[in-house]
Amino acid sequence: MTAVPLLDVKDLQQRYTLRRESLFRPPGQVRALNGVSVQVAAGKSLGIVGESGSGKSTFARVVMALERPTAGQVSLLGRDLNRISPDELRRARRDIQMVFQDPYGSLDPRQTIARIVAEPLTVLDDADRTTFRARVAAVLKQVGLREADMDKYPHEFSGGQRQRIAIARALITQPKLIVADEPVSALDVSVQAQVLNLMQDLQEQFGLSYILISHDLAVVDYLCDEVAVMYLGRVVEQGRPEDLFERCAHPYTRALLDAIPRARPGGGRRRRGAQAIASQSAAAAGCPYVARCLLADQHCREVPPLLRRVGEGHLAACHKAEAVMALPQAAVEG
Amino acid sequence: MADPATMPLIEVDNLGVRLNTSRGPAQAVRGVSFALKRGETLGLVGESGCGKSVTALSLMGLLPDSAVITGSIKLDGRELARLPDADYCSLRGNRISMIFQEPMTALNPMHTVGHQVAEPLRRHKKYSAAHARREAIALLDRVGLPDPARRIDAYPHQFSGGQRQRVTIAMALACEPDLLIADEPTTALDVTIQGQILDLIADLVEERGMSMILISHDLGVIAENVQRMMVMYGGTVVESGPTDEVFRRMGHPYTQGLFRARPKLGARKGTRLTTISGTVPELADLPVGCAFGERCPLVEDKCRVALPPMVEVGPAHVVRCVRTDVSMAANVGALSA
Repeated sequence: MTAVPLLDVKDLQQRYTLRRESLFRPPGQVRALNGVSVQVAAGKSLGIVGESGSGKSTFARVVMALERPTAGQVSLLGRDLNRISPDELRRARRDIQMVFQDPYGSLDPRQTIARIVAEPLTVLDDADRTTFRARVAAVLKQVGLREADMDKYPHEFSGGQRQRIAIARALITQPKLIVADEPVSALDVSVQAQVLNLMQDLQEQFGLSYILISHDLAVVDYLCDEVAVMYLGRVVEQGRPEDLFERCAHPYTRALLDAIPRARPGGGRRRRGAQAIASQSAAAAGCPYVARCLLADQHCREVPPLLRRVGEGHLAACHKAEAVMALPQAAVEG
Repeated sequence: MADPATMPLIEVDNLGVRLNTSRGPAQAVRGVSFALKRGETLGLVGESGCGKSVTALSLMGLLPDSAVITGSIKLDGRELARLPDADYCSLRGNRISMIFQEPMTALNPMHTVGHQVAEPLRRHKKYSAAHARREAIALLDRVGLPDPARRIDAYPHQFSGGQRQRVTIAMALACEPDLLIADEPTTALDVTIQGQILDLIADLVEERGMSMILISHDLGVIAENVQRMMVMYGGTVVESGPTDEVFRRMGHPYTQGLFRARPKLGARKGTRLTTISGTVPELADLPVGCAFGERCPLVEDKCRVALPPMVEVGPAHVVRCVRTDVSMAANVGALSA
């Protein structure tokens, strides 16, 4: 690994102030991110999993420099994105592109595919129309579409093809990092597999890095070298997929794994424990997961656990990580 | 025949639905037949446009006026297909109820949840406002909404996604229907909440002896929650049977493709997913023969001539394919056993 990681996120915090409800009390705050630190090396992929409200999408927006964080820093190739000048930031955006969840909402229905795909370039480069069209044609071919598709409109394409167009738009600036926020969750199963294979091929071909945000652990397992599990704006467990999914060390990761319905005969229904979602606004004293945790004791309620090493490249924020790892692990589909 | 215990609650025979779309008439459902006894559960699985939701809507009498229904739908022996809307109103929400995918759009944002849960009780059972309200609190309590007596006067936007889905379940159950149709009830929810909602639905189905039709695109959800399943593609049922049988020995190339295309936990980076080539066909221009023909790895000339017949491959397990000798030899379902 090189000395400078492609992306280095240090102690990222993001708070949103709520509307004031009383004259005499300060307005409430949503703590969307509470000190997230991760690194992504060139050519590697990081998966972010968690439920809605865990801060996954806020994390994506801050990494893309679409929002300024309350505290902490996001460095791309050693440059802090929040300290460089607006002009430099605009040029740095060439290296980071984003693919969104909904391929129906993320493409302007009134623009041709050529204009949609070339848009990131027109912002960055000052080239003529022919050059742009040649670049668009090349990138469409890379994602498995035809050159003739250039002058069509989004409604002429299926969901899977639209997601390919969105990926083409992200690829056209030859980025080093693509942040994909639930890129396949709106697609049908058979089409989902095609898009996931494409993302893997493109990574091999161009040495891309991905930050893949998904609620589907299997999708993350398929595409990522490292996975971070988020809960209420914190990373509660991080490591290689095989560590997380075969020797998980946090009760929350375990709950996520247990909740996946398995497609196999004779499975029947498995009972799951009642789980309540905790609030993001309250700053509790102890472990944020304590209300849902089956193993919690007094110590967990008082002292927040820090992210600590529980194995080679495997971190977990749980006082009882060793006990969780010793539990029989959830059966993995083979 | 006359014994109500063995007579099917709902009997669908050769159901066909033609919809008028912007691309011309589309045969959204063709030749769908099934029967469901009291207390039985059936899963419909397939991708978008396969006709699973249209089948559900035709049972509910909620198809657009321009839709043309052929075949028959019988509830306790009474014909429902082409029933006048006024007559349907007395069944809907009373004997047949439905839970929809997106709870925020299924609830009216302008009315309190209490009003919406009480509405079927007031309408079908003619309860007084006070009686319906008491009943609504009991229902909301049963579906696990915390503090129902206080929250009954709250509006939908004041609840989380999982709580809203609990409210729509309470609405669907208010009149103790005989048949519950759940159309992707957990697709909009987080995976941990999905488990809770499915557990709740299963408990209620068991407790009240209802029949249930569960619609999902997720083979895992189907595997864990229904006794029998039907796989739909291009408006037809391509495979049907007891859930365990289908997962043990998948017969149709489409079911197999769907099963193989799912990313599975433990499939490490560097492995490739087996895809189904091409995309889901447009219902307006379906091929003449097998709807899956264009994407099928085993397609032959005879597949393109006419819709293949149903072939029995196991106890009550049928597959609409002429090449089951080859497809069944691949032993796809057994892989996960």
